[in-house]
Amino acid sequence: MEMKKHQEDQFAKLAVFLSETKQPFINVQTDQITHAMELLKVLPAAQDAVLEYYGKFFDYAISTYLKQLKVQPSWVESSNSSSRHEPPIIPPEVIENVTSIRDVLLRLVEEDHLVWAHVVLHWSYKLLGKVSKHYNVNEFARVPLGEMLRFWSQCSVAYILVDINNKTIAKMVKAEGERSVDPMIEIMLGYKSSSFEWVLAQIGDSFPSLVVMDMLLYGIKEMCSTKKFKCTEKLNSFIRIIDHLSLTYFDNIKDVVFKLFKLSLCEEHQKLTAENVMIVPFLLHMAMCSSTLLNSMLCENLTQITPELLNKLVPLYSQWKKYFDEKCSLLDILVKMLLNADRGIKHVFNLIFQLFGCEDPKFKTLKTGTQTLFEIFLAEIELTLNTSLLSPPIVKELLANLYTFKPYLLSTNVDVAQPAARLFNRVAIRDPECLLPYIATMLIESKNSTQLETLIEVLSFGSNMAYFNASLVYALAKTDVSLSNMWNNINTLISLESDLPDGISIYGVSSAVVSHLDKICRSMIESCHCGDMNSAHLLSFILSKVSEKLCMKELSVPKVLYCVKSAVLYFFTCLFKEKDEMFKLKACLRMNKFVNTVSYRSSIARTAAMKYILDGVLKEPFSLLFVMPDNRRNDYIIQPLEKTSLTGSFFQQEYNSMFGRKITLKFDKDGLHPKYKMPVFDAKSVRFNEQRLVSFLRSCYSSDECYSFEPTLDTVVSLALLVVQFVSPDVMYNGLPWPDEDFTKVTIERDVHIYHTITTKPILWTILGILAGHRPALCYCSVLLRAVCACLINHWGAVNHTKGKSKDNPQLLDDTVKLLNTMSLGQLLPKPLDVLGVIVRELTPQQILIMLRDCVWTYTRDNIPAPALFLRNNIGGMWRDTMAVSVPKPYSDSLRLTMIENISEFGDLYARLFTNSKEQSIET
Amino acid sequence: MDYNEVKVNLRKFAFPLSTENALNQIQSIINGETSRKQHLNEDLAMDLISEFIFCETNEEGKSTKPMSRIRHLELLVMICDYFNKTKIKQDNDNCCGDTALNAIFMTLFPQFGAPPQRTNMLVSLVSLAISTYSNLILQSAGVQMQQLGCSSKYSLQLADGLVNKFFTFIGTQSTSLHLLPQNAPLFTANLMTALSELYFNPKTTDTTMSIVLPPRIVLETVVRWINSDPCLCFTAHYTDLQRALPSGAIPMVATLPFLGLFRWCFFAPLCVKNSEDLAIYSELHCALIESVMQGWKVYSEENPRISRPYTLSVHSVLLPQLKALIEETMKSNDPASMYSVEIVVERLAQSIHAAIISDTIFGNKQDLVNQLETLPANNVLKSLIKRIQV
Repeated sequence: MEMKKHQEDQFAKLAVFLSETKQPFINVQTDQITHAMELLKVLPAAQDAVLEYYGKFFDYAISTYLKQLKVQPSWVESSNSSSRHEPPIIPPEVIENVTSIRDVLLRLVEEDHLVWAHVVLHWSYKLLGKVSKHYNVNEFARVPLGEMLRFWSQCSVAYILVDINNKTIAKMVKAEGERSVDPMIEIMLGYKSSSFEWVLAQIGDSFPSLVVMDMLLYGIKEMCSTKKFKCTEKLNSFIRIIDHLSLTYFDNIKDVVFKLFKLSLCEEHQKLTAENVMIVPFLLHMAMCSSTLLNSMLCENLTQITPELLNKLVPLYSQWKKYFDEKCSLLDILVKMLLNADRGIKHVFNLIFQLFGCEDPKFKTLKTGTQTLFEIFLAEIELTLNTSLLSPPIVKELLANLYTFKPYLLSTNVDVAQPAARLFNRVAIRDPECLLPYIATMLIESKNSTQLETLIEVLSFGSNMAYFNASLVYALAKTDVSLSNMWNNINTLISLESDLPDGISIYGVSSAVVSHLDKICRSMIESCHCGDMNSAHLLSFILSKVSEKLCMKELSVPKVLYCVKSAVLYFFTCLFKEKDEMFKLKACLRMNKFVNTVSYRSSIARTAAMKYILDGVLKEPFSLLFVMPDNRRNDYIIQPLEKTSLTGSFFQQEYNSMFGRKITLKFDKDGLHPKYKMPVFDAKSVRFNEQRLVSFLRSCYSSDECYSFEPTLDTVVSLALLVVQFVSPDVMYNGLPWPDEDFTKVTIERDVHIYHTITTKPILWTILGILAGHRPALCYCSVLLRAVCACLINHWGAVNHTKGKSKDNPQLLDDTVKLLNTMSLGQLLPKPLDVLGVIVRELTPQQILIMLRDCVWTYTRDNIPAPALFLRNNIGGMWRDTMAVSVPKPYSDSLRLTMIENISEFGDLYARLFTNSKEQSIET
Repeated sequence: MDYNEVKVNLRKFAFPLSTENALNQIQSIINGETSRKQHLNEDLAMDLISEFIFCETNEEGKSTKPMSRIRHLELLVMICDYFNKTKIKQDNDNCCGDTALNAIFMTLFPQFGAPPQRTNMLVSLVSLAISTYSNLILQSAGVQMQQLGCSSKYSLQLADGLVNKFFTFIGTQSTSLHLLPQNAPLFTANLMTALSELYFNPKTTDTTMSIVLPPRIVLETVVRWINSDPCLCFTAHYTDLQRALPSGAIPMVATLPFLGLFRWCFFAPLCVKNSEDLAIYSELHCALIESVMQGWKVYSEENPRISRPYTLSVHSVLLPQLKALIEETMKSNDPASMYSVEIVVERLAQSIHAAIISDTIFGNKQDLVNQLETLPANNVLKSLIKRIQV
């Protein structure tokens, strides 16, 4: 009986439910909804009906909402700008019912998810599909996904429906793990109409990784079944959804893509399913269609992909082939992708360069493949950049990331460095200026031939040479690195400039270097100061190499001065420090030529050069170069040490005193503390030094293009004036006239000074000798001769006074001979006085004194040795006609008488000098 | 009455009256008038069912859109009502139902000639009938299942549908399930046979050798049913179908659920890892042994004329399948699986022993021994073989 009652009960309930379904929805009460729910639990047979009823109610609720929309159609349009209107309101009781349906279903799911989750999910999915399709057809066809999402998100009922869906999925994911939902989502992905997209986008918002993964797997399955990649409507729809999700869940997408990729990696290829094999081709195809996916691939995950990892994929290639046809091979796809890529491109190229760098033979296939890919890519990018106005996004990205590839550019592996150089070239086609820092870096850091080769590859491409100069500026501006390596590289480049095979040209290196002459000179000066001879030599090579270019250019005054100064300093330093004789000689010759090149057109340069030379010669420490070991006088106690301006002035101008002191100490440290020790230059090297100096000097003042070192008078005169300027302590009494001998009492102090200078720096005699050779230049040095003469007279007077012998004063005698010989050479003492230098050695101090007084001093006082006395003779030189204007008797008589006194020794000479003359013989 | 006349008359009504009238009409066609030729009657009945009951075709005989679920439910309720209205003869036991109703049921849900969605209808109807104790429908369904064979596609679809749409949604505490053996023993027995074929059956899954496990609720229900009545499994054997069938029909031989359910017990230790489930399987095993030992004895003592049924057969594919599975398992060679094999062999020996005792085993003794000797040695098995050979 109880059973009967139960039976009736059940049927009664069913009858009630069925009658309710026939009523209009507007009257539906909440308890009806819950009644229906009881049926759901007790009568599985009624389940479908109840769910359908619920579905219809949802449908009704949404339709009331949409009906209101139609009343105010402007809402849809205005939604673009701003939602001025409030969204239409669904009656609260409807919302209440809808909410209670949601609660009912979710409670069921909560109670027994294993059973109900599938049912509810299936129901909500079907309903969502139906609703989206139904309300899409007319008004909202072909609406973009974002628009569609906004539209539906305004509809609270639809939102509740999505909520049911998502909460159920969440429950399943929580209780059974992520993979449990896959079949369900796969069913959802089988949708036909794009109007369903928004639902998936909504689900994706809650479960991004899940949905994206399933979508991609779905696509792979589809591709597997068709055996061909086709960009179907479904895939486009997936791409739209992924694009939407990427706004918020880009990281998830990245992870999913990478996870998927890893699926295709497996040690044993037999174990891979056809779908796993498919993954890579599929992803590549997809990336071509979707920039989001492309970006998700090009991300930092790429750093996890190593050549080893990629190598595992190689065996799969044969299976991939069938998915690519001739129109669209794997390489084409990759190139196309690369061209479209923007973010993350540096990872790709890092990988490519890693592969290039692989020496392991097992990567050979991979390496060749990559090289081919790279070639095609470069060709493509070059073509694009040269033909189209727009530049592909990758170029911008590469430009921004160039610095990451710098290590490859500097790689010592040709396989890496060359491609890197070519990449740099192609990328910089539009904007070669961006290469500046890299060229600069390469200039500074290149150490071996491979790196230089790379540099030349970069420089010789297109018009990159035009930017060499700017790169040089860039490199020189770097203060924190040692530039010696760069100079080395530049030296090599200059040598190569004229000596490269066809098709490669780095013409312009030397002119660029010339424009930085001052920098080079400065470095040279600096390295001379530091005693860094290697750099100094290097720089001197560069200087001598670019010297040809110097002729073409009008140099500014400071540059010229720098050049000259550095050349002179280098010359001296070389003499001072360089041990290798041959090298020293070569270096000096180099500088001769250089200085000649610089100065033959510029009088400033010439003057400066001579000035610097004299400065060096006369002052510490270089004056020591020219002091014979036996002729050394330690008289620094009397006079303070005078440093050459080549070092000293330089410090004062350019560096603080501390630094200057440091450099000075460095010079001193070479074992030459001036007060206690003398630098050791033996006679041989002193002679050598003298020779070099003379030739150096000559190369300065000769203004001959043919490098014959024939000086003009002007230059010699200026040298003479300079000598005076340097040696004479003040500007007074530097003129030509010789005063009365008594007047020397007034000038004795400066005379002593001059005499001291000349005697301690015997090289001055050599210089005076040169001047004497170029008549009448010596005239301008009268003051020096005068001072020496005055001093000698005094000295000899003192010797005479003490009854000393002339042989006992060899130094004095030596100086006297030098003075007399120099004056004779310069024709200041014409015939017969020019023999004085020969005879003076045999005379007593008294006789010497007489000779100096009568024959030298008095003669020159009365016959002022003016340049006007010299006339140009027929061979172009200047000559004092001593035959016509012979020395008057009073001056030569003393000589004659003295010679007569010593006739035993000077008989022969005497005869030649005096007896030939009739006039003289009569008088005698 | 002419065919068209009948249809035109029915078309005057709308649902639900049209359906109700159609049901009555069909009853009279099938069970009433014999003047017409039998096959013509059947054709008319089929037409009426398609058009007026399940609304699968329209007036021109073309297929229509499927009806809504609510309408569907309404229809089911109506059919239930129709069956429940019928007065049951007092002398009828609760096995076979009413002959006339059986005939109508068979026409409503034939094995062939009905569109596939009718199967869903059948499942829903049976499901509703179980919930609402509409026993006559269940009894008819039981007869139909036995006539078509419990392992036929028809029965398997019904059983599978019930599992998916009914069992999973009904809790174990549901009284309607518990009362099912009382209300419709034949249906219950045949359902068990069909269910036993669905699971642990390497045959049913074609490509892969994967074995489908029964849901917990099905397993528990089966155990409870067998425990509730040790004779239940023999129901199909002793039910006299002849009187439940329309005149001229030949009753089919019964299949008993023993073989299939024993297979569950043998396969379970090798396939199931869940210890709770394993416990239920051993319960099932005990219940089956109990049923084999006691069930038939009890019944045959009351009804000595009934022929002896066979619970196990030496010639079934069960033993080779089991052997293959055991060998597969023994490959892994870990102690747990070796223990499982031990259990399986013991169970096998026990069940054969029970069948021998109750004398319900079919086949040659020597064949059996030959087959048993290929299995891994075991004390229980050894004593069994010894016993058989004596």
